[in-house]
Amino acid sequence: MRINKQLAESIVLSSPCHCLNVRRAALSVSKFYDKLLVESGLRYVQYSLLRYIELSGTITITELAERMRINRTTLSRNLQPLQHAGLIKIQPGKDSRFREVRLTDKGKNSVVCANTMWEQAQKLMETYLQEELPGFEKVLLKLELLAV
Amino acid sequence: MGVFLGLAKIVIDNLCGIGIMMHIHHLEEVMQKKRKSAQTSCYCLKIRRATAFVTNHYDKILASCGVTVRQYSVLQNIALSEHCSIRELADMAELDRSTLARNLQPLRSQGLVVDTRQPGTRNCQLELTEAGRQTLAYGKQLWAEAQQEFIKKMGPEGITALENVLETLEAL
Repeated sequence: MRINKQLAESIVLSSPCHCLNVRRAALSVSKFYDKLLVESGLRYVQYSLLRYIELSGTITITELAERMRINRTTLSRNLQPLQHAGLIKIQPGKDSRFREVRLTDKGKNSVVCANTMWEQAQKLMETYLQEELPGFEKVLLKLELLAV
Repeated sequence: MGVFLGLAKIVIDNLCGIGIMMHIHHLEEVMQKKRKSAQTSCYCLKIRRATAFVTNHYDKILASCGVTVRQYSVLQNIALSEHCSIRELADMAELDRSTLARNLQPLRSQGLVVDTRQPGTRNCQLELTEAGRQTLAYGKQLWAEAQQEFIKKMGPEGITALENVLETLEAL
């Protein structure tokens, strides 16, 4: 590997990519939640999906993707191990064009067990952010409004 | 008379208050419908969603050069470190190898990136093709445009607040 110095300098001089920075921050927060959830055997993304499915009772894959703001391919990739582990059940919905997903009993237990760990993560985040917490909420709301 | 005016004022204030509350409630409802995403108190989900919004903003503008913002940064990293292996690239991009592979694959099939390793050697040596360099150059203009527009939308105070928050989160 040889580093192209000229290009490296031009990148350093340009303003930092906000998109990359937001992604990096999200990655470090996700890793933090992953670590605290480790004993549940779930990764954060999996936990958040299970939890949202639980909240909805039954939900179509399309709607789940929309609500969680992830594309369908990524969602399917994330749902697959959950289905294999017997935590969710995917079947044709009332409208047979759309597949529906719901939790199995095993999935429900899994969420209950992970909930305490998630609460712990939330508390630690609050302690960590302290007086920056309102700023965090405000900035994220602003980003969300950009999309509307 | 004074008492009457006082009462009237209280009634009007309350009515206005209710009006404003209803207005806010209505706005929230409209927003909720538009963004079609779930309400959450989870900090992790919030930042992950924010990432989706920001990525979407950059992707939309970069679309005319045919790559996503993730793929654009992969192209840039390859240009930056000629003949790099997948592992080196993953380290640079702070991506796990399977995520990187998923982003790299379309770049290779579009003929923007090639592997120039000698037959019989193990690590691949990734390089941009001429088409890859052109895409990167065009992408650079579009990226700058996306960045400018993002800064404009957020405003100088918004950007400073964002940078501060991100810095704190990265140190988590």
